[in-house]
Amino acid sequence: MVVHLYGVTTPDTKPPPEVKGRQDGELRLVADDRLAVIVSDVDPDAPAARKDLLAHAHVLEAYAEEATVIPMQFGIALPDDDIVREQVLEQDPESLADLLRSFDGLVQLTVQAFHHEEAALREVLRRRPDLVAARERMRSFPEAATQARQVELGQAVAEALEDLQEEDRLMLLDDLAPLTRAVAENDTGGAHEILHAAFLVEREARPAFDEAVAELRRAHEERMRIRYVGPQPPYSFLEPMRSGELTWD
Amino acid sequence: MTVTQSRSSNRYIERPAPSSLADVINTILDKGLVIDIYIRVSLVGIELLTIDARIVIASVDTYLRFAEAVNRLDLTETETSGIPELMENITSSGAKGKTTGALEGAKEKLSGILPGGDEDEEEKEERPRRSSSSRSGSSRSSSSSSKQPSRSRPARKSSARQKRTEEG
Repeated sequence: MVVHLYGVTTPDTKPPPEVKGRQDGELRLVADDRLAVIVSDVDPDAPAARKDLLAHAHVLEAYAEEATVIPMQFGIALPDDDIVREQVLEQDPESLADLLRSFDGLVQLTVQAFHHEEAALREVLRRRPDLVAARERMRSFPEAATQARQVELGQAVAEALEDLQEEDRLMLLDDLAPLTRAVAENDTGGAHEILHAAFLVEREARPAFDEAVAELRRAHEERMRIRYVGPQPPYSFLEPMRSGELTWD
Repeated sequence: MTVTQSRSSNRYIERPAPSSLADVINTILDKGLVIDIYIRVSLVGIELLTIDARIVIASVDTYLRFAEAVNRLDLTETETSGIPELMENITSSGAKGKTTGALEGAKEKLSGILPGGDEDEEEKEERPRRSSSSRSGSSRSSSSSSKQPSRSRPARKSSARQKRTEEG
């Protein structure tokens, strides 16, 4: 057995009820008087798969409900508790304590939004009579609908869709960002992805943020689907905080 | 309206859901603390999933697909979407209710036959519409239809695919 590391928290943190670690292991803390590492024992010979990734994430999310947690990257294990103390708790306790202080009372909430293709295309056509006209011409004169013309139309549609995505992205950010301490946007990659952003939110502001997300879902359900994930430990803000890019107080 | 009530606490009106595999790939694989010396846990079957996770609007195929999608879009399908100046050319307005109904029915059915997937431990996050990218590893041809499974129609998909292979 080796010791899998999930993240760093404060020693007074209580384990969340009913949550197990990788390979259904019991979660425990390896702690000193200031810091604690969330760990569980794992069989090092069993290769990690999807369920292990999810277990790692879900353990951290369960702790993040109530506690401040600095997440470890997936896939870090050490031979035993003594080495965990030596390698994590005694290596650079000051900066870990600083990170825990900086993120005290904050959780990450992730919002991802996607256009429904058909509804977005409808909106594009509503705004762009020229595209409707081009489409109508091709319908009426199939011989004119060469592949080049179709590519041209498709490209114009794709550009109009991107404009709509950008507009909707800003609309979502305008509503959500003011409720948060910081925002970290991921690149949107999928053809209909509008927004993929992590928000750093104060625990007390969570109900307001939940409500804002719910309200956006209600208001725009025709055109977009909104995924709402969390609470997570502050994955996306860890590097900015360590590099000094993100500061407060 | 999708209300996610995944965990025990009910303090919040609408709670966020736990991470899916796609979220995990976006976060814990490359974010988080690392330490200098450790035992790297070997990962299996994960690479496959990251490869198709991102598709960009940039190819001729995509443009053709959009052209086709726009071409097939029936502007009579919903009341709100019609372009006023075109409405006079449009034939029956009485069938609107039916059309919409049929469309809804098709969506429901479709969500049942979409690639079921091998991900046993998916989170129960949003009813039939599965989150996009967690699945993108298994559906490699049509990115956008995997994004919005409930909106795509089998006929359109297959014809689009056929076309692509003919031209490609």
